[in-house]
Amino acid sequence: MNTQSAISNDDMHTLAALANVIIPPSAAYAVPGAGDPDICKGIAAGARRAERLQRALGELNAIADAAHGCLFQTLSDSEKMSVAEQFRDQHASSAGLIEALTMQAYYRDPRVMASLGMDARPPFPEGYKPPEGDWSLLDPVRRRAPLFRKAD
Amino acid sequence: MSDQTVDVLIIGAGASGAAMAWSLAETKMHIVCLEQGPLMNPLTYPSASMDWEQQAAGEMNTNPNVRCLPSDYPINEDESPIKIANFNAVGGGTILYAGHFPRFHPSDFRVNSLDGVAADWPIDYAALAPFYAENERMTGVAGAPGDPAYPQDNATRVPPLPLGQSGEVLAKGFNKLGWHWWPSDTAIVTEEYDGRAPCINLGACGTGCAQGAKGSSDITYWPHALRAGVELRTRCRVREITVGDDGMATGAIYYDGDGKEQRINAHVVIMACNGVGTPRLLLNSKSAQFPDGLANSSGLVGKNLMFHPYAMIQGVFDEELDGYMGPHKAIRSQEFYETDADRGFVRGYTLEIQRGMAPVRTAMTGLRHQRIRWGETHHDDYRRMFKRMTGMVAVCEDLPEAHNQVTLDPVLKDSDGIPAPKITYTLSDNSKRMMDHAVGKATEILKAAGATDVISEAPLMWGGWHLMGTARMGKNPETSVVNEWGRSHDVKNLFIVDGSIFTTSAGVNPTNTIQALALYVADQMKSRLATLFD
Repeated sequence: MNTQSAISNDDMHTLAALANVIIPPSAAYAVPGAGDPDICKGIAAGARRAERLQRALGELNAIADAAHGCLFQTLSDSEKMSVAEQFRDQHASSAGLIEALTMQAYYRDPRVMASLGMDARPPFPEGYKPPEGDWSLLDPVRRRAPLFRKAD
Repeated sequence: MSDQTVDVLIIGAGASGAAMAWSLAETKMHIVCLEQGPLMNPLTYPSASMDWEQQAAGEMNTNPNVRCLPSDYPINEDESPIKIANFNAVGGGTILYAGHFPRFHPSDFRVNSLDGVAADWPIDYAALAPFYAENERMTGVAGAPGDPAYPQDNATRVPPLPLGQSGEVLAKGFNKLGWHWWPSDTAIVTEEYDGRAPCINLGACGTGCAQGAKGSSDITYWPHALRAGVELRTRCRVREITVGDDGMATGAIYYDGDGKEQRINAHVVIMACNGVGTPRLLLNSKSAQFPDGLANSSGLVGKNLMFHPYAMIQGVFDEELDGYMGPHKAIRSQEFYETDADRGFVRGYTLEIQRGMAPVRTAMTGLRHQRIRWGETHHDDYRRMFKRMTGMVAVCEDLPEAHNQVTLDPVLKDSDGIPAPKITYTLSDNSKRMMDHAVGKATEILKAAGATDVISEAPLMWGGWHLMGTARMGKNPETSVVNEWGRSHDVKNLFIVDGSIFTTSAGVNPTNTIQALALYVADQMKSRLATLFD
């Protein structure tokens, strides 16, 4: 499953630049962008087939090259967003792949989880404790007449 | 190739195969079950890892064409708007199911008599009731007695799953409208049960329960069946059922874990491969006596495939709710379950409340519905939804239609060279109207509960969980594949016990009924041993 080693350094730079467009860092929420090196490694490692990720990044760079004559990561912020939008329009499946991988890697990062008020741990073995809730709300339903049809 | 003879061969170790194996074990016959997947180790389930949601999207995905595990077979589903959900392992689909465990209603067995559509079942609710009760006792079901949407029952239940903040908010919405709701019967134990630990609200039921609280049949029936002497062989994929000159089934040819072809002879063959796997295997079991596939003189093997078309409706609230904490199911509504001609469709649906969403699923849902954007607004967008969503799915009754079917793909094959199943399915107008109605009513509930935004999706593309109708049960051999106790009309030592034999689909999750039917068929077999093949 680990495809990170199959991704070149150039591709990793492109991926980090796109990930930061998708989720930029935020000082207000004290969270890194998705282009953070640790998160970006997770994005690359999450691809079950490296060639699909490589192809997607190639498609992104091709749009950047056609529009600006350079690689995606060298563009200005506004140019990156514009190219990223074209990428979504022209290569929805590839953009969807990177988007999903980005969410999967970003929202398990301990810094991000802490910012959301979550413990930075997997669900098992500790689990969680949602409130029981007020079961007296069921009382009016208990008083209802049967609502199933008899089939005799 | 080995050549062994056993009394009973069960093909498939999922929900129905497990129940059948356990029930027949008391006969002390030599019973062998072949399962193409492995025996799972709950400690390796995704919820023990930080990347659990990524695993849920990949190797533990519900769709075999995404998952692509060695135990999976590919499915051509290009001609279906609803994609297949399954899991190939001991426990089958129950490994990944949410555990929603309702019974059918009495009216579900009399669809033609009551509503003039489809066909009546050859058995009724009363015939299955004791087997529902037995299945619920074996599985461990959380819930509450007294639901006015059902006849009174004698079910064994442990206390319900927590209502939580999400359930409370929605319950208030239902009450404001005066509509029915009730704690879901759910195969998740809330206290120690049959050696299993209680639920600790992992919120990851759909990736396998590492705690062992969810009643997947690998940990409910199978430990008891194995202790009683049933032999379970994993990583054994059956290619075909063999038949003798007398037209009786003689056993099966399968590939073992090393890919070697093996033969097993059996006096009785029981199919438990689900509503896609069973017709696939029957259709692939062609012979001179059965040129159209085994047990197919009616031409109905693979026909009348039913899913439950799902509609998903979620609300966004200002207040913080349960989010990722707790099992997906808490409550359900059957206000719109029974037919009301004024609604413009026949039959009805269950609204199953989905508690909340884990972090990645929140993001993906928001992105899919344009509530969360790329760029600077992402964080604010996300925080408006995280732990602030709850909603429901509508489980809509699907009616049987012959053109919805499972056939053998002429090209696609699995890793053993066995033809893959091909799904051809279109949504009926009745289903479309029902989903529209469900979206409208669920939106009313969410708004009554205080939702500030509502999103919906219908049908859920990845919602092909429930696979039914492709070898249906009936008394007439011309219009059904098996008789009223699960025996093939054509092959008198061949039985089918999975969702294939459903005559109609009802508007609830089918696992409790699949297993109750398996127990019922097993009971019928045990009571007829001396005349089983007459």
